[in-house]
Amino acid sequence: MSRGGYWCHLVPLVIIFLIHLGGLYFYTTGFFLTRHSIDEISSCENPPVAVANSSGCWSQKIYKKAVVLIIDALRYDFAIKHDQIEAEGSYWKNHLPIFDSIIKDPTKGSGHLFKFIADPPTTTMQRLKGMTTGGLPTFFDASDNFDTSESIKEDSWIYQLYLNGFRTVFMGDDTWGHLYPSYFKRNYSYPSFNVKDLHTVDNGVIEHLLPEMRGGDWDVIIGHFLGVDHVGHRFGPDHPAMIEKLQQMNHVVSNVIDEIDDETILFVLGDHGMTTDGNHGGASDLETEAALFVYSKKETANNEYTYERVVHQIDIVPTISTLLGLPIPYGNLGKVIPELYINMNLNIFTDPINEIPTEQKVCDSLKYLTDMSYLEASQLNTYLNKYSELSSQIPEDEVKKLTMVLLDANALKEQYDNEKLVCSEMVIKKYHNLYKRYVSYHDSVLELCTRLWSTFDTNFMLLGIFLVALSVIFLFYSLKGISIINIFVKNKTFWLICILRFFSLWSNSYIETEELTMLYLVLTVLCLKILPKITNNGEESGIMFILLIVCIRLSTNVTGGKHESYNFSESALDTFIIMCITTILIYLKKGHGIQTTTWILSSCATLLLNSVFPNNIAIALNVISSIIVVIVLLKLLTNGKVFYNLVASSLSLVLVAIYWISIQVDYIDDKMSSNMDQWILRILIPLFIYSNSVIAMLYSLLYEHKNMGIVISIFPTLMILLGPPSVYSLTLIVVILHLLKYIVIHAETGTFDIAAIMYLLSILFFYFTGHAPRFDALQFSAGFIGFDYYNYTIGGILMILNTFASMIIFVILLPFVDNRKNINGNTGYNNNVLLSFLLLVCVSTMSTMLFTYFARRHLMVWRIFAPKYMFDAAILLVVDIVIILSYSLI
Amino acid sequence: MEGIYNTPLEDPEWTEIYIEWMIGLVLASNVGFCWLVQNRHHNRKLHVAEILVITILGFTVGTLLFQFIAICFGAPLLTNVSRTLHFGALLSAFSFLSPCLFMGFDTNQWIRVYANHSPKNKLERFLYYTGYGSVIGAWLGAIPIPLDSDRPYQVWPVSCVYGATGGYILGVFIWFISLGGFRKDHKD
Repeated sequence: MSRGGYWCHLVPLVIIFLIHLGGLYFYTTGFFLTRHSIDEISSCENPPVAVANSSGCWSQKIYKKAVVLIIDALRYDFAIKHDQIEAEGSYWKNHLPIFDSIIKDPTKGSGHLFKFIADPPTTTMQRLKGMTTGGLPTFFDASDNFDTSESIKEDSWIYQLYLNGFRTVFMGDDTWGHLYPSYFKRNYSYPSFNVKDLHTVDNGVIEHLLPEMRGGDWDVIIGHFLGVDHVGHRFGPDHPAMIEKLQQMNHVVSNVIDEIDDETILFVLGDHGMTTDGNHGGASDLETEAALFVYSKKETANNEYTYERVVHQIDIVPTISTLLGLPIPYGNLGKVIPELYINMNLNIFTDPINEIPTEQKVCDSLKYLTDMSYLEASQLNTYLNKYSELSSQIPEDEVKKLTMVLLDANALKEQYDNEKLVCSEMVIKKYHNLYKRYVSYHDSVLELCTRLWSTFDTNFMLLGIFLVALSVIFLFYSLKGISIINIFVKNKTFWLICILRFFSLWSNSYIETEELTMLYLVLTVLCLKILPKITNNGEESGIMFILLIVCIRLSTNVTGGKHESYNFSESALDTFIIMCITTILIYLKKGHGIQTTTWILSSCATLLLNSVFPNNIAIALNVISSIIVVIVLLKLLTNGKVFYNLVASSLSLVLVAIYWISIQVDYIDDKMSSNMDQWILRILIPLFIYSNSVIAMLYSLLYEHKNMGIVISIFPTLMILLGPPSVYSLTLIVVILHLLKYIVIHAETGTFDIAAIMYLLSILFFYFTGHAPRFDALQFSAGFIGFDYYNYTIGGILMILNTFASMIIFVILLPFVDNRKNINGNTGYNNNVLLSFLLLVCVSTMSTMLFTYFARRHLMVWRIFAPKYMFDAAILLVVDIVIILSYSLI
Repeated sequence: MEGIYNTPLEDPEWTEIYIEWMIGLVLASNVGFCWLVQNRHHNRKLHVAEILVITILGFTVGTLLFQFIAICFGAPLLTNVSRTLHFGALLSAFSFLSPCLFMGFDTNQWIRVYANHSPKNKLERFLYYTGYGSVIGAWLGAIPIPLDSDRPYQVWPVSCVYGATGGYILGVFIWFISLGGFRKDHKD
């Protein structure tokens, strides 16, 4: 290829890439609005209003000390007592009996169990921010979950503890250390992101918790357990490991309850829940409903009333502050939890109040509760005024209206306070109504904030859509050798697919079932374009075609295994299916009877052996036989070319098998091998595989068949990142590409149709490699393969390789499948197939952007459209980059 | 993932009865017509026994073929087998059985009519239009299945069955129109 041709291909691609970057940037800024953070700090000397108090800063110090235990992913139904014992959920039901036993037995002190509602996104860092500052999260924060380097600048109760001279001791998840550097007197933190490690953090917390409590040199202890969350991520809630973990937590909590004294309050809380497969991040009920358990030896409200009571997560902020006599954090939007202030049997949520014991104690505590609400509402009003001063987001007249509501309530309160009445039913009712006024003021402010912080900048969004649409038009003109009219007339199928794909992103239902939609579309293309030609072509093409569609159908849901809890012994059937397909391929290719018979026999033997041998050996057999199949298939695909790469990859694949076997066997035997073995197996093998891939890739750039060489070289890396299910998914990709190449040559399929088929298949395999456009479906554990710690750059690259593996393979192999020009002797790089692939990606991203724009007030926008947009944007950029790289290198 | 195909039918019996009646109707008319007219392909009137054998064979093969195709397009393999089977049988009656009866099992003729889009006479055009009509109708019928408006017609295979029926009727209609235009070209 001449130098001039090279640049004339590359420059338009770079321009398109830049247009995409710009378009996505504008759209993203318009779509994900940000909340301004206000750096003001509440100070002890200047309370918003003065409340009678003798010991604390803004209010009475009801408790001198506090213990806050965070059990990551403690779902509400893990904590409550279930009466019926069913088989379903037996791994997590009723394994935390301590909460129920405390609530049922008033002699042990008073305990409350609340349903603790989290604001989505339900990721740990966002939740910690919410539970310490009392602010609402913005959606965009979710992507910062892994970037914990920036500390929180907003006011929080942790900072207030530090300012007011409390001795705070922290132990557990090191996210806290990043968020609140240097605020802790003693800090025992442990790295948190290795989800495979179930015990290090928890054992660390347990080691320090009771000794610290007995030591006495503390005011507040915060402990953050990660085990439950990690069991969820690794195995899902329905796994024996969950029982073990919950029982351990139960044990810790009961020890702590035995230790604490009358002056101490205990909070045990979950930051979020988990879905049925153990992930979190979204907005479903299972993810947002965490548990909050509050315990103290002082008398508070009747326990039974708080059962099933719903509390917002930010409510814990003013509650902790006022109980410990601290200033309420400046930006807090939560309201105090009333049950913790009333030390009588009184349900303030029943209206009208019946049979009220008219004791002075009741009146006093109710009065105290209104004092606290008054204090918290006044701080909220200060914040609201400050915010509207700094930003025009909140209209002033709304602020004035709300302030009037508050002032009315305040005037009423002053009047009641001055009356100094003897306690009676009348007085209780008065204070009760007053309290409700504060609550309603609070709720309207919260409603206003939520509404305003979820508005969109439509101009920016439209500009973003316009830029991506511009790139689509630009791509039209870049297609070489075909006039615009010809493109439309001659490639009706391609346009049909473009249009169907465009509208398939219009409804959330199609996005949810995208996998099946893609299957339907890809088969449509095959039936329209390839079937009529293949019928003229004889038997072998026919068999190849049927094999191809069967393989494509296999890629939807034959293996049910979830990425992290993939069951080896059950996957024998998968291996068997692949072996059968390989057998047919070898037969068609070589026609050797003996070889085929050997394969059939060995595949039957694998299936049989798997059922005979004990688990460990069955796993080893299964992995080994799968890897052999993979190597044979790769050899078949390369057809004798790129020999060095094949040898290097085969070596790596054998190591991948050893790595998987070691991991599985370790868990089953429940014994950890020595540190040295661990290091070799867990660190050295993946690192060797990565470097082997890189070297082989560089090597393959020097020779012919570069695309093939690169894919063969990168194959083991993708396999180890995608985990054991990739034995099945990645080999199916290889088989499908092999068949497709054969069929495409025989059916003389046009470039555009090949691009369409490859594009639809790449989306199909995005799902089949275990991904989905949802944040909770990201396979975070892939970022740790080969590393004990989370490195932002390397982990990010590994995550991208893991998530977009199918797109990367399909894009690199596009010229391999569509290589007719090479047959004609023209070695020029086929431009159109890549450009039309890119065109389809652009159209689908543009469509997502457009429909997300229209659906921005849709019920499902945060659950489906926004994550879908994020993933589509990422796919667009990844495809751009891979295409540019393959242009400039190959 | 196949969940959308497994929504329970509002009125399973009615759907099945509808499909079975429809199949019966098409089968009867095909067999009857084949028995009445002289079969061009065979150059003679087929014997009743021959017709029955071809019907049973063609219908079974067609049913299995369309069931396979439906499964490839995403219908469930192991659940709701009866529904998929009914759908396959309907499409078989609409578009597979009649060519079996009127063109025999001659692959070349099938390829000429269907793959190369060149039906030569009235009968072949009828087979061509109704065959493509019902298949395209069934294909279009799958489009509303994933939508979440929970209507009874969205349940697999109801919409596809309606689509196939509509497509078949439309095919007959187009054939009628085409009769006038093509009469002079191929006088058979």
